[in-house]
Amino acid sequence: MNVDPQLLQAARQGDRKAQYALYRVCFPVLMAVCMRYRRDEQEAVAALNSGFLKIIQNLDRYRRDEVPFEAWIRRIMINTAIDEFRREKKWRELTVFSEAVEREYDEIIDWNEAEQRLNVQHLESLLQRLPPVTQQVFNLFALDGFSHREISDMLGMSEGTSKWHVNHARQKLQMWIKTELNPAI
Amino acid sequence: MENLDELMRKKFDSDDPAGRFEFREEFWEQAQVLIEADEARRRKRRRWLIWWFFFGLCIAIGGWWGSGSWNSNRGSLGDEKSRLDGSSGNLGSNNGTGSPGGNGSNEAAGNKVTSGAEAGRGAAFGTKDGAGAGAQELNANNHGTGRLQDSKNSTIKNEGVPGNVQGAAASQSARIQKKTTGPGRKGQNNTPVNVAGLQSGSVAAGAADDKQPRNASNNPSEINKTGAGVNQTDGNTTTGPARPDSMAADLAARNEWKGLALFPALPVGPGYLELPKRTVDTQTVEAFVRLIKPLRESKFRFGLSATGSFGQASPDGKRLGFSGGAVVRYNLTQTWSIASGVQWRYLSGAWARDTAETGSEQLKYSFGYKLDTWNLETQGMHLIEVPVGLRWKQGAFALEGGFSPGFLVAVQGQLTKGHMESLQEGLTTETSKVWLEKNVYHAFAPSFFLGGEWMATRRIGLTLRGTLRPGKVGPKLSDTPPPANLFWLDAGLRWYF
Repeated sequence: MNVDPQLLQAARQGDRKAQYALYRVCFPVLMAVCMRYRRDEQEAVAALNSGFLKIIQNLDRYRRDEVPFEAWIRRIMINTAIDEFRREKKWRELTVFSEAVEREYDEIIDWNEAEQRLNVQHLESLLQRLPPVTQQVFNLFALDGFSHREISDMLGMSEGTSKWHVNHARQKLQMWIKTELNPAI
Repeated sequence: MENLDELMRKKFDSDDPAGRFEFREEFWEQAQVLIEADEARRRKRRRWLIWWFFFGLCIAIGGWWGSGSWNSNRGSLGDEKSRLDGSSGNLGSNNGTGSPGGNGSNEAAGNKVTSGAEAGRGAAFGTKDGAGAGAQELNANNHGTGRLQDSKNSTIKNEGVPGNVQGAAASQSARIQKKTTGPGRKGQNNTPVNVAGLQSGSVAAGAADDKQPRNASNNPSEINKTGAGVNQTDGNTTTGPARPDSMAADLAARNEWKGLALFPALPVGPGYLELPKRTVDTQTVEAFVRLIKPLRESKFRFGLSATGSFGQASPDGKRLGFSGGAVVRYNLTQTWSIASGVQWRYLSGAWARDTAETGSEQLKYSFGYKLDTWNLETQGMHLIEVPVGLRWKQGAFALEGGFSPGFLVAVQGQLTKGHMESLQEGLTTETSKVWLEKNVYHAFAPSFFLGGEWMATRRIGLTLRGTLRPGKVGPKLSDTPPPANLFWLDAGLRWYF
């Protein structure tokens, strides 16, 4: 993603047209992030707008020679999504501690077939089916590269809880993928 | 497990979002609303800052103006005192008027003394200065006028005498003017005349009852000089020629004014000057003296302070805080002093986002359900500050600025526990204060302050102070930068012991 520095300069100075142009440029990247962290498009757009506001507010802190613009806005968007998630108090997720025996799906999934048959939209919809906290933790860990320690700091939980959420997400996702690939199971 | 992560990463990394998400104008309209709201909020914040600055400026100007008027009040008291002091001069002049009046001899003297105590003194000493022809004029301000004027034939009009006498007795200003064209030459007796000769004048007769010599000079020779003119005056008037015996003249003067008895306190006679006792409203004077008593400023002053704070919003939107502590001041000079103290400060808000709020829930099924929730919120920071500053005082208003190292003592939080179960109706909550980890904040918090104080009374001062805490609140733990460069305004009271 190439962004004209003059466009950034104008957007920083409050030029509405420049901000609009920047919004259009950033929209797909930010939307891709938001759709992973939110349940539907409406929530994703709301989060995107908040993130874009932060981008506008912090444009003067952006150092072009240090980090690519796309990575920078992606990082801001992730942080915004996490902040909003915490602010909206969606922590009160119902966590059911069932005594069901965890099933291991690794052995019966053909990952090559999964890669061929499943596209991003499929996977995105699967992520959105996860419980909210589990969704955030799995996104942060598996797709955005945060460590369990960082996740525990960001979300205010222990590292063990973070690991549990990741494992829980994996089990769920594998189960759903298996179902997608072989509806008979 | 790794296969799943790899699959997800590969798919999302190779994804081209531009083809998947269609841009719609309504998205931008929503974003625009947010941007405009943010701009309005910033404008409002700037406006608030301007208003606070204006408010502080008004207080400063008001304080300065108030202190100026207070000083001017003090000045008027001082004037009042000097006026009282001046009144003694008036009294002195009155005494003097008796004397030169009595010393009608001074008609020959060329001496002019005016106003206040000088008039009194001049009047008292008038006789010694005035040898020879000329005019003597004694004016005592703020008083009525008694006038005695001799004509060329050296007679003293009777009506002039009571005027002068009355003026002296009533502490009115006396103006004695005599113009002679050398009555001494005309006079029958040019020989030195003593005070008796003076007393033989009609004016001097008023002072005859008092045996105290009223002449300003203790030098008989000088008296004699002045007496020269008197004798000329006396030549044609009531008392007749002056007798060489002063006592005899004194007696004559007493006889002359026996019936009047207007000068019971007016001293007569040469030798020395003694002011009569004056009646002063001692209560009033003491009240003034009390008021103008200089304030004793000790080198050290101790006091207590309490302030409320209003500043920039924390990430969770809180702006208020408060502080309280002890202050000490060491006066270097009348205007400059060093101020220090120890104060505790509470700054509300969750300034580090990383610990802003956490919570969890647990739901158990066992013949029904039980739901337990925990929610932990950061409430604010507790700091101990040791401000050290320089203070400049002008009247009741003072400016002070300095440096204030602060140390984080604790981070306060609130834990809310909720419980709900199938056999119980509703959610029961319980809140408790807890102390949170401090490692997400910097332990040392230096700040700079600048403000003013207006001493409403001698012991109570109103303060307004702006404080800037440069740097970040805490270390960077995530990508969200912690707030930096906090600014707040403290307004409060100080009470000095």
